[in-house]
Amino acid sequence: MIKNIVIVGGGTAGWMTAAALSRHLPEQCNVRLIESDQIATVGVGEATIPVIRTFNAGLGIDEQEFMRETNATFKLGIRFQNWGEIGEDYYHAFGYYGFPINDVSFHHYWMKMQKHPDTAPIHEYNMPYMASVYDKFEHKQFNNDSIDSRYFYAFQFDATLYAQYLRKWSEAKGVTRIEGKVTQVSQNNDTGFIESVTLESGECIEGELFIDCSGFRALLIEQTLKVGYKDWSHWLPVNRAWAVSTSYENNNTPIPPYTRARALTAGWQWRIPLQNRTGDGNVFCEQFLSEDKALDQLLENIEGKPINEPRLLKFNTGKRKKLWDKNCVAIGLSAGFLEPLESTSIALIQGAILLFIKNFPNKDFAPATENEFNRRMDIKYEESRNFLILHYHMTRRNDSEFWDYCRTMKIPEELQHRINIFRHRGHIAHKDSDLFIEHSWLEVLFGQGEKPGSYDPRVDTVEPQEVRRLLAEMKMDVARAAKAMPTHNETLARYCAGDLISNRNSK
Amino acid sequence: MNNKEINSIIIVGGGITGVTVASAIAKSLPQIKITLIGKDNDKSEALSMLPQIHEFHRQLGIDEKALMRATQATFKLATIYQDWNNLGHRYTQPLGPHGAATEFVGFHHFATKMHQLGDKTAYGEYALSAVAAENNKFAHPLNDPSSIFSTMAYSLHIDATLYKQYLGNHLLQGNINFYTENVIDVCLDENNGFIKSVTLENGKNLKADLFIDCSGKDATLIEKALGFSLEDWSCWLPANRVLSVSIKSKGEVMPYTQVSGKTNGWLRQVPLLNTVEREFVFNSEEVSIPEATEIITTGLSQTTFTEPSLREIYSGQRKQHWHKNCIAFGSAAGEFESLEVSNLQLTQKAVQRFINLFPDQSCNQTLVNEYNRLTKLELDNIRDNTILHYLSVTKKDSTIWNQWRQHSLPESLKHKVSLFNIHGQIASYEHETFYDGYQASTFIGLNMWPDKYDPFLDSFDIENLKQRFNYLRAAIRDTVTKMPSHRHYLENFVH
Ligand SMILES: Cc1cc2nc3c(=O)[nH]c(=O)nc-3n(C[C@H](O)[C@H](O)[C@H](O)COP(=O)(O)OP(=O)(O)OC[C@H]3O[C@@H](n4cnc5c(N)ncnc54)[C@H](O)[C@@H]3O)c2cc1C
Repeated sequence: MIKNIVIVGGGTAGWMTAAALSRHLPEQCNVRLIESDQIATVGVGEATIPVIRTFNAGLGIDEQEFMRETNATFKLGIRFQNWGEIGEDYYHAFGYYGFPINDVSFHHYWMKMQKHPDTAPIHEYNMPYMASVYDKFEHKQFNNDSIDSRYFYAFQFDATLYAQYLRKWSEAKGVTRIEGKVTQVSQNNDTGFIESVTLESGECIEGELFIDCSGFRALLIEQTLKVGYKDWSHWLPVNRAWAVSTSYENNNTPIPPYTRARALTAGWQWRIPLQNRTGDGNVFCEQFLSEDKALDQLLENIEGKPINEPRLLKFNTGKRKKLWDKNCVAIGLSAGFLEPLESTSIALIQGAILLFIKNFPNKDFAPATENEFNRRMDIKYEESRNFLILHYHMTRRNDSEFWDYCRTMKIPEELQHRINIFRHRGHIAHKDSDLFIEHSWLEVLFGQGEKPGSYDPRVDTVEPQEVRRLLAEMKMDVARAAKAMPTHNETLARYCAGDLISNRNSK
Repeated sequence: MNNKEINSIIIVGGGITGVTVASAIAKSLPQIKITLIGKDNDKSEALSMLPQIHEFHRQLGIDEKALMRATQATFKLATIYQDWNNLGHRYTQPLGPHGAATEFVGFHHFATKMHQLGDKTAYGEYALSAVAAENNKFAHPLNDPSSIFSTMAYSLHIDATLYKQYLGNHLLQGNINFYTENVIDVCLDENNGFIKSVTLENGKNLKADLFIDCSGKDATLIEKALGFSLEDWSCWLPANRVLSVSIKSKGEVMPYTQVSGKTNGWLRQVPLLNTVEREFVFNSEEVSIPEATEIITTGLSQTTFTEPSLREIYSGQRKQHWHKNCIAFGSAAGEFESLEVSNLQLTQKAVQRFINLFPDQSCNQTLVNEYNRLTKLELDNIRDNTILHYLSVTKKDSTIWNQWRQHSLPESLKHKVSLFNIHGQIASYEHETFYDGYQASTFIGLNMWPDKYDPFLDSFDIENLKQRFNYLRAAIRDTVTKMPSHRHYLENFVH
């Protein structure tokens, strides 16, 4: 069995990989992680989606402790402003619209009844949506049978603190951290396999398996192995981000249980609330908006005061042609970049780690293992990519060149197929491997103003009166449950107060 | 909402496929007028189903007890393979899972490690459904995850003719029009290529919004009228005949399907309440009818079985299952030897999928594409699973099997096999019928043990695991001892 594993890079990807490997690998395996204090991590990946909980649970992490130490808040979804059209506002909440009736999804009944005066806007039948609207959050286990706990949650946390938390955790499990900058990589003359990396200090570190978590540099997978990059920027053209942190106005400022994504003229701006501050950033396309103007735009749009110098990040949407080549696997930004609109990056890191563990190679590095990993990762990246493109393409905005481009661009066939299916009768062509559930697609499609031509004909077999009664009941249950929930601030204070709350108490 | 909904459907084919499709549509969309055309040409057949049948029955509102009472049905916990790889080889493929979950690492890795250490425990001993099957026992599963009965999974063996009658009586009675004449002509709309009407032998012309082809191999609509041919799979699955007899039986009832390998084909026995249905599946170039008759009647005394009946089958699927306003199900859409999945199972799944994507009169092309995409994926996966069973067979020796060996496998299966071979990982594709653990159990049952097990298993304390799993085996044995016999359970259940 492979015993000597070297991880290059100590950002979120590096430490998540180290933690998972040290949790599951047999003791005789040796995991070493190299990171350089000279090269900063990206560290802005702060918003997650619900699968992160599976990852943490797999490590046996205590949720309260983890939330305290990373200044984490709960996340029920993402609020999208100005996407369909300026002035529009919707949430992609991690849950469902109503209950199915006779095996047919709720939204078909709603579509039939939408013109009826008793029928409310569809989001009023969605529990996490309504909780988000009122800044409420209650910590509950998912229960499919009960409308008031039929939702998932994720976190918003300080990514740097999360990496530190996992570092502590991994080191306790025996991972060795090596500080130093890799300056040279040696390959086997015949096979091209990586044999060792050499640090600035001259120290040479040998390994049987190398995991490239070196971020955008892609030190091993691209600079060394030159696998090539599949560029997707014609579909997702944003390529710059200004990031800054801001303070809350005062101690009573409500902390929303969601991330905000506000569309601007050439991209969009995020606002990610943590316990002690918010993370803000303007993600834009430099061909449509200059860096200076984008910075002005960001600073105009933030709510609190900046507490650090704005940072500029550059990227290009796409992915490596192969994430696994020879004895090297790329995880994190070295593998590819998808913009943070739906907070998919950390989820993709996690997905890659789990898939890699499942297909952990033998010393002979049989091709089928590598092929399987690459095949499955391709699917994951493409599906996440398509979900992102959906947000840009399904717009009616025509107020800037950027939106004109997005609205009229040709999109991947598979996505077009899904959109066509929805437009016809409101069906979602869902796949087992999708990162998001069917109702996530629905929320975005409805949210961006799409209206299907008709609904599932089985709806007509239920008496309209009965449908009205059921709809009214669900709406009431949601409203009642949302009202009864504590605010997000209250839940945080009780469950996992970290920095802000302790500051508050000391005042 | 500009397009008109479908108001009328004509189904061509009055066999079990037609009736199944009609029943499912009549249940979900009772406002539609359904006309069923054609005689029942089905030969009697015993169906060996998968657990997915429960969901189908739930959606149709079929009560299991009432159905079983009416159809001679028995419970199915497993398929037991006999003399498969070679004479004397035997394994049980249970419908329920093996072992208990070890976080992260599938149970079959543990079995692989034990196997490498020389342990001879049959893999089936770790599955309650398998052990119960082998001992002719049965009890319903329980939902409670803390109970060992939550690891039971079962399906049914049913007589196709009685099943069809049951569906007809309960779901179609008074709701649909029947014609027993054959279709002699199909009229297409010149403008859009849609089917407009069909003409019967007696001259009657019938129109509908949607036409469903359940006409079996004839493929009256999808092939004869619309010209869609088959994608041929006979190079991988060469069986083309099934000879069957029905044998009277008393006493114990097997809660499993038995499959026995023969030199040139395989023999299947499906237990019904008072009979066992025996089928021999073979290729007609290799085996003559008298030879097949000999194989199927060996060891039976004259008075106990019926006249053997012969069915032709083929291996392949329609290049398009759905085209414009015509969709095919059953053998009109595709079929292949039903080693683990009966063709009716495919129809049940297909019609559910169709109802979920039910079109309006325009038969929107996107829906059609989605349906065809999913159906093809499903069939390709099951085809691969079926071919897989032949890879380990060592004794086949004939022209057909020599040709077979030269044929390269579908790429998807090649990948699956080499991935499992390395260290027991399952490449699962979109829309698989069998869950990963089930597939692993097939590989192991066929003796296609992986070279290595998941390296992460070595981080577990193996003695501790051994103890845990020995305890599990004992608990399974214990549970099975206390379970009622299958016959006993059946008699109590249906009476
Ligand atoms: C603008 C923006 C916003 C984002 N928002 C989100 C979000 O909301 N949610 C989300 O899930 N994700 C988000 N992401 C993505 C997320 O930040 C990354 O996926 C995550 O941080 C992983 O980064 P990484 O560990 O791969 O790389 P990095 O953080 O770049 O880490 C690279 C590591 O490699 C080391 N290194 C590099 N070269 C060498 C060398 N030569 N020698 C030694 N060490 C070296 C560095 O020291 C560092 O430790 C965002 C990304 C961007 C750009």
